[in-house]
Amino acid sequence: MTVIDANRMHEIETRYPEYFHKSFRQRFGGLLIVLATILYGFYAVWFFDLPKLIAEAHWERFRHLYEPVDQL
Amino acid sequence: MTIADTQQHVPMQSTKEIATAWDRMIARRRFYTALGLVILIAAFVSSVRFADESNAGHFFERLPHLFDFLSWLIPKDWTDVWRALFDIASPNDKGGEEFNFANGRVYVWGSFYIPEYFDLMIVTINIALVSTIIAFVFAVPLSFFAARNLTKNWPLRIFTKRIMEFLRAFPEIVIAGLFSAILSIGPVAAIIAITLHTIGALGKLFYEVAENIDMKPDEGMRAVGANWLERVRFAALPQVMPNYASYALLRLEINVRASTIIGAVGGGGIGEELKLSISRGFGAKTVALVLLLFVTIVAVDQFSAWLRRRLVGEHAFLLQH
Repeated sequence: MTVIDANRMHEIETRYPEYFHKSFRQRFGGLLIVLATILYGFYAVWFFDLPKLIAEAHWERFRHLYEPVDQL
Repeated sequence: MTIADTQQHVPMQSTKEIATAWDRMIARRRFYTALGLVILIAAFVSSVRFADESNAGHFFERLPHLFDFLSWLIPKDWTDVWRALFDIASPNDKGGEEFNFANGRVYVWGSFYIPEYFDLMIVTINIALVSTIIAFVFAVPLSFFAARNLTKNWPLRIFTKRIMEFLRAFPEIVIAGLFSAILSIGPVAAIIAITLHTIGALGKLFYEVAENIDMKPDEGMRAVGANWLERVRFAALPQVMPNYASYALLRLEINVRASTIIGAVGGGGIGEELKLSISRGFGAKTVALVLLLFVTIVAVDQFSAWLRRRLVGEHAFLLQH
């Protein structure tokens, strides 16, 4: 396996500074957007009161799709 | 030297013949055009008359009453529009539902309240936002499975494409009707309906973007032994992400309008209130709702256009609109 020594690492770092010294936004921007989306997801679950709604749903009505109504 | 100079050898006689032949041809063409037009008008008039006769309400008889509907909805007192919008008590309130603006207040903190219509607008925007986010999460992987250059396995590719076509084949209102039977009337049926439709619609736009990427980064990743997931993550995703985000924002705009419409068929939010107030002929409330909807939709459109310009640059707008 090829091992990179310290000199080589420094050389690469000086050659491509834009890839090794990123701003906070570049580095964590994507992560922050993902986190914000997940937090918004929790807010939406609370906002639409999903657990209660799912519990009270009439799942048996799905059977209307494939069974004639008089057999229910 | 002009073109006429080069054609001096043509005898006078034949020039006249050409001129008469030309005139005859033009006359014939005009005759056919006129004939076609007459046939078209006759067909149009007779079909309209047939439709009018077979229709329950006669179109032409009722045509002068076209604007009656609007005149019912003109508020008697225009200041009531502002009162309806911000839930301020109206002096016209006689105990009925037409002017009971103050009853709709949603108190959040002490005496601080959100006006009813703003609260409903928040519901509508949340429906659109939640469904766009969920659809985005599902459409991204589906688009990579459907892209010809990234998925060599053709049965998987065809299957994914058909799934997406199936999802966007049904209008949102049909799916909303189905789910409102199960989940009862409310915003969640609207969310499911819009999400399913958006997965199909976004997935198609996404895989077309994915098929147009530069494959050189992918080749590089392949050369160092990266697997499919790594190639998609590090070679394809960085190239497509600005366009994906831009399309998702475009879809968000569309979904705000769609969730309003689904609201009118029992999907909750502002559409429901709008339909009720129109059907009862409440002028001030209707104008307030239309005003709020208009301002919100313009704001959402402008915001998403601004964000998309920042993401993908000016050139993307030349093709899409």
